[in-house]
Amino acid sequence: MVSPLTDSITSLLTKFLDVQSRRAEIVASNLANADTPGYVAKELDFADYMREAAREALSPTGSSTESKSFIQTPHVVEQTTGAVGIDGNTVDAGREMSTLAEAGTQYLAGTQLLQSRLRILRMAIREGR
Amino acid sequence: MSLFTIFQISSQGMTAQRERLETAAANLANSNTTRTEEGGPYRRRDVVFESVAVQDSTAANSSAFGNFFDSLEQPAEGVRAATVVGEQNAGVRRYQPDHPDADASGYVQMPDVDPLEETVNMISAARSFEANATAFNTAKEMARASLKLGDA
Repeated sequence: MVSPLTDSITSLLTKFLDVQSRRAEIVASNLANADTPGYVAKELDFADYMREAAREALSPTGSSTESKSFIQTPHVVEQTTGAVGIDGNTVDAGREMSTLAEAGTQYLAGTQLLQSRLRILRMAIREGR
Repeated sequence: MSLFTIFQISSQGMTAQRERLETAAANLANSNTTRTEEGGPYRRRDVVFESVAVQDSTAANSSAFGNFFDSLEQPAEGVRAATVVGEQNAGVRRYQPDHPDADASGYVQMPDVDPLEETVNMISAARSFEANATAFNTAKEMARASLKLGDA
């Protein structure tokens, strides 16, 4: 039996929330170092990881334990585009603010989805009331 | 790593920017100071930022919801500000023979403070402070949203 607390969708949502909070953390790092000479802005490379996680969670036969080993965890990379400042700093405040807004909103969306799953569980416990 | 790391990083950022603002204020306030405790005119101060790795405040290095990022290759980076005193004084020499700090030929060595530069520094520090505050607030909203999961 699959519990709604441990099923593949809930597990996918927790991964999603982790990715978004990590993204926000990297943005916070970049913004804090916006005036540090020589600092190179970072970003999280998570697209492959999320795609793989979603494919696994949504495939009808896929079990969440089988293929976990070869999924690459998202990793921090240095931003490639962007102008280099006179002091070697590559933080683009506008870009960071938009990433921050995006990660924050995605995170809130993720919690909404997780909450609706918990609501379904609660409804089942209360026999539909 | 958790959302609380963002609080740590952003508050470090805000502290650093506040120090920068304080330094600019001190420089402006002393733009006409011709005598100091160490002798000679005031020498302008500057802050230099450097990034520092942030230790996770929580004992377990697990993420907020799972353990997916246990093997983080890079720790998050905060920031620290160090104050440096200007080495040589390149300030202007003003001819004012009646000034108590004037030298034998009647010139007074003024501090090397450029009001324009300090004002730009001040504005920049205030804006960067706001950026850090925004990141802090976003993290707060995120933490609040995850706390609300309980009352589904």
